[in-house]
Amino acid sequence: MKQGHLSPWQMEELIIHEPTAIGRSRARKASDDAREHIETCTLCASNKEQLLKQLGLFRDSAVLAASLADRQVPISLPTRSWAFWTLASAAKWGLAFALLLAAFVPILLQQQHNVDQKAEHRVADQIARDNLLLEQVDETIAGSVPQPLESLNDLGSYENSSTGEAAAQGSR
Amino acid sequence: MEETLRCDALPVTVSAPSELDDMDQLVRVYRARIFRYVLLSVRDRDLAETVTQDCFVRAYRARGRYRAECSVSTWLIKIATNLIRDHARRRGFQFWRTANVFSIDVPGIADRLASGQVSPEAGLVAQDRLRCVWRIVDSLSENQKKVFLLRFVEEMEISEIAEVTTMKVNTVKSHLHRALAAVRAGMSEARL
Repeated sequence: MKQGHLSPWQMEELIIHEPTAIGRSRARKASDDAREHIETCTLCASNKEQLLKQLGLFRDSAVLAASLADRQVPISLPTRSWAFWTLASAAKWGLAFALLLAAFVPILLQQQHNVDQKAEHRVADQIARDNLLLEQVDETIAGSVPQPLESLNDLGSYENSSTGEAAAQGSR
Repeated sequence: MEETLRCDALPVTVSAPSELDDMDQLVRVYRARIFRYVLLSVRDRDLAETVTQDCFVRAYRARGRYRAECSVSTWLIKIATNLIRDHARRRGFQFWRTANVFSIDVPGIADRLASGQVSPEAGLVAQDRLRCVWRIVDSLSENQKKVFLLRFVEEMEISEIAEVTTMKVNTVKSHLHRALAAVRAGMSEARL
């Protein structure tokens, strides 16, 4: 003790181990010296009482403020088993996933349809270009083949007509 | 998280039937206390109501694992403390949420506590003291504030506070000493 009075630490020890307002008797007692000093020293006793009073005021204000802020919201406890809530939670997530799929699948199908259509258009364009090219080639070939040899163009149809008729046409 | 406590320092004899057999009664008895502790810890009324609800739901689901080695109130406070910590971690990611901040109406509370039995001057002094203490408590660190509230508002024993906060007894006492030193220094600085 400093100058015959309790040190701040000793005072705090007394306060910390002060029995509570609800009368708990299991509070560990502060040192005997400090307790005995409090009983004989009016200054330290007064300081202790003042601090306890301040802490009591703080507690009362905290209790009152919390009770005023309490909206008395009723507590609802679960009435079903843990397994039920697990299944319910799994079903909820499954439903959410299914809805997500249902929303995105048409979009994906539409995109695939668009891709297929584009491919078909490309193929059609390619066929058209190829046919045009073949016609140009035919014209070129027909133009470049000399007239006497034009009958040779008919060789492609030789297999379909009679042999004599084709030979007679060729000798002319 | 398993909500069992092993309070070896506090053997408690539990009289049959157990308090947890009647959850409605348990809620009636402890709801206000749990709400008060959570509200003063988080200073957000909506969050305090949510945590209080979660606390009793969790207690209901874990009632089969309660070992009766500690008092039911200590067990509930422990659950609430864990929930406060979990919510604090989640809130760090929920930056868009605005808190319904709970603030103390010091003049109103002081008037109610005085209830007209003191002179106006004494009432003003009491308001100043109350305002000073609340300001000091708000400036404490999280751990100091937690043990301060548990000791001087919820009036729990040091060993119970150590179990609830999973701190050592000496650590709890150290925090309490610092908190009290801050209160005493603040009061003397304000000359109250």
